[in-house]
Amino acid sequence: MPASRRDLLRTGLGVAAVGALGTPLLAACGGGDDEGGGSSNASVTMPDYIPFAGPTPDLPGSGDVPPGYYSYPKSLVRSVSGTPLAGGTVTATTMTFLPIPPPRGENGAWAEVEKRLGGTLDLTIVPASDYDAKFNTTVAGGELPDMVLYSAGLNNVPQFAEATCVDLGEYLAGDKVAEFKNLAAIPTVAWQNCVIGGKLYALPICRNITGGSGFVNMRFFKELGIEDHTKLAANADEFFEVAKKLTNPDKDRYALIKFASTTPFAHMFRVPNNWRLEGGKLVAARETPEYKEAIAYIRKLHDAGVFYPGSEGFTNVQRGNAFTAGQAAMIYDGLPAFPGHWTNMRKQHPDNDPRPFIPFGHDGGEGVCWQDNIMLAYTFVKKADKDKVKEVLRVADFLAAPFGSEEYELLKYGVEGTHFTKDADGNPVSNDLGTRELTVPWDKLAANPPVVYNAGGGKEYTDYAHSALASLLPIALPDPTVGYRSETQDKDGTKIAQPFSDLVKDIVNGRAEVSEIDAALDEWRAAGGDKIRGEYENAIAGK
Amino acid sequence: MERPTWYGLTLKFLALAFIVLAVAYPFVSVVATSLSTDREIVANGGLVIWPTEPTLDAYRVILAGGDVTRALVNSLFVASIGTVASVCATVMMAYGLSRRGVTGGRFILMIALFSMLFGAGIIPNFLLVKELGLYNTFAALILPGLISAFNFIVLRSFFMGLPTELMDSAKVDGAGDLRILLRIVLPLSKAPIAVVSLFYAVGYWNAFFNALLYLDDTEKWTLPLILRLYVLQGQPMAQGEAFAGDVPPPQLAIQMAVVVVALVPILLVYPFLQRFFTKGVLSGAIKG
Repeated sequence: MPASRRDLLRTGLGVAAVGALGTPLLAACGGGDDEGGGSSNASVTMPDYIPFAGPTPDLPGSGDVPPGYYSYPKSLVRSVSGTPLAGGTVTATTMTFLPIPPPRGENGAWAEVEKRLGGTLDLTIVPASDYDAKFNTTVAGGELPDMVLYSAGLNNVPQFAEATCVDLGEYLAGDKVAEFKNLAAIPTVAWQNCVIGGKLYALPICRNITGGSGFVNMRFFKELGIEDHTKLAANADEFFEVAKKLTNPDKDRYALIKFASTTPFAHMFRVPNNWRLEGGKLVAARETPEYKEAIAYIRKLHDAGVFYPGSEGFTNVQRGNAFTAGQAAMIYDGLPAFPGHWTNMRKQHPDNDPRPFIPFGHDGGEGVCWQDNIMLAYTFVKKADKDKVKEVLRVADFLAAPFGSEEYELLKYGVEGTHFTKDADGNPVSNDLGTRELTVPWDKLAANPPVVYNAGGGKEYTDYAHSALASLLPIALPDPTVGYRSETQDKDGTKIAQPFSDLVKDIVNGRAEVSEIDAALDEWRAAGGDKIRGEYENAIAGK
Repeated sequence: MERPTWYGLTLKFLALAFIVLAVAYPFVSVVATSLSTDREIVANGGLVIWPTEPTLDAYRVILAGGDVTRALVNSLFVASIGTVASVCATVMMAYGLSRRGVTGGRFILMIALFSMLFGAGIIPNFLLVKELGLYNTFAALILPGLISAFNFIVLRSFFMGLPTELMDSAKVDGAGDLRILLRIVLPLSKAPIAVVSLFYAVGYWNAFFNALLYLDDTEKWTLPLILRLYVLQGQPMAQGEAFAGDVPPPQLAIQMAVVVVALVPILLVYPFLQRFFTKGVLSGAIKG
């Protein structure tokens, strides 16, 4: 299930109205078997994992750790034979975070992709921030395309999926996925998140599994004699002292920026990923003593004055700017932001040296991180006859072409000589036309498996990014409720948790005390937290 | 009359200066940021007041790409056609229902007033647009909202306030209703019509949600959609979107440049209508 961060992208009244109006219509579509809240997804056969036999990486992948490349492969592999569409048309709706590309009729890259597909790919592109409103309206209006991305917004996903979407298990479960080699290269953990109501209903837009624990600017740590970003401090007490030494108000520099979440410190104190499962019983992360200790620690840092003043009100852009400008030595930001920080910070100051923060245990030893970035969203395939579904899956297979394939190069960079050229190291460099035309969001319909590569980053970037994933993934805690559903969580989870979140915000900003957490937890349990827990426990137990 | 004291004048001056600064500051910083380099923006924490190295790079990027220019043309088309169509339809409906003895007039008036209190909702409107075959056309942005009940009431009240003797004498001279409307009523109604036109024009110019719902083809997108895409891009990138090799999002300078481009047409139109605005806003509010 996509993480709740997608809630941030909802528009306000429009989506609330559409969701409220759409729900009765959609509830009428479904079988209604899931009334009462929990649903079990335990016994679903996942597609087999068949790694892509592509160019040899400089840093091999192992397990969930993706391979790393210092430079773009010199020779590419053709991953899709023939033309997937054979003259047909596939319609799709998806979101974009980038500038819109030139329309289909004026986009040479799009035309080239269609030529390679052998048919027409008719995309409706929607700004990500408004996608939920458009999706809900499209569903309610009965205008579902062949493929549609889903991130959040529906209150009855299993009913919707059962009524309108294909059970992809019939086409992809087990060794059936071998027909679609690129889809088979998607990690199993991503497929597990696409199980809804006991069936495999969606194609994952997979990511690096973990969102990491933020970044540090080693330029300032080196001034204190700390050279190794994986050994910033032995424990939380030592980090506290380091943070105080990093803080220099006269130079407008502080150790930390206030984050939107408590994540890096939660990692230090080994807080579980949303829930902890113990003997069939679930304990919410916020209920654990580790969480309380993490909040108390953040409060201690706040009282010591090591957070940039006023940063609790910063937007993501302002936080990024402050980190780039050298006003803070550490920031919490998702791992996928590393290429941006790597490029932008070095432009701002040549000594800036951003690296991923590797959490250590508050009492020494290892910290944890979370499997909180398994996928961005997933794509549903509309119900249709077998031939049509296979046609759509062939298109998805093409779009999920892995790094190192000819198809990946076409989708990402376009045509060499027209949209990009190669630099002295053989890395693709997009020209203006390429930059404009290649913003078509193919990767928001079906995405390639993760890989570590940054054209502008070189060996150093790949080493840091790859080693970060190699350090983080073994300590990444899974969320035991992934693959299971709680109707109360879907409908009201954010609302129920809001008072507690507000209290935590007040505590870390000095407006409330840690001792108030227990009463807030009682309120959360009474407002629906216990109900959510029960629904998940039933689902996990297969009831 | 008492002459104002020097301290009274000073206080008024200071108060007005403060208000002017408070209003002008955001606009100045948007324009200044749009003319700044990324490096200067980051060094200033996000917004610049006076760019030390002004550059038109942001404007080059957004205008060279074609999507902003195309969206600007689309918005101008929708706003101009929509405004003319809405004003014509509203004037005719308001004039018709301002006359006495119109068959069914009261019923139609009640329906118009009812629509001010209750809306159909997003999905019924969507289904209506789809069934009428307007989906993915510019007509979907114009026809559903052709007549605003509020604007209709403003015009109707104004028309009812015009001296009936003028129209009676025109009738005696053989003029029909249409001629009376064109030759007598409209020339006397410049102020409220200008205001209603401005309301409609701004409404069509800012039409965002209907464009989002009804326009699938990006080549038909209007400027508010493009503006939102640029302005909101920075935020979700950190949560899992910047993948290796992705095009980086446009910086703040580009976002501010799009805001300036969106503001300019309305800023150009408003001064020509300003003299009607105060008079027109009050028209229809007070009878007699």
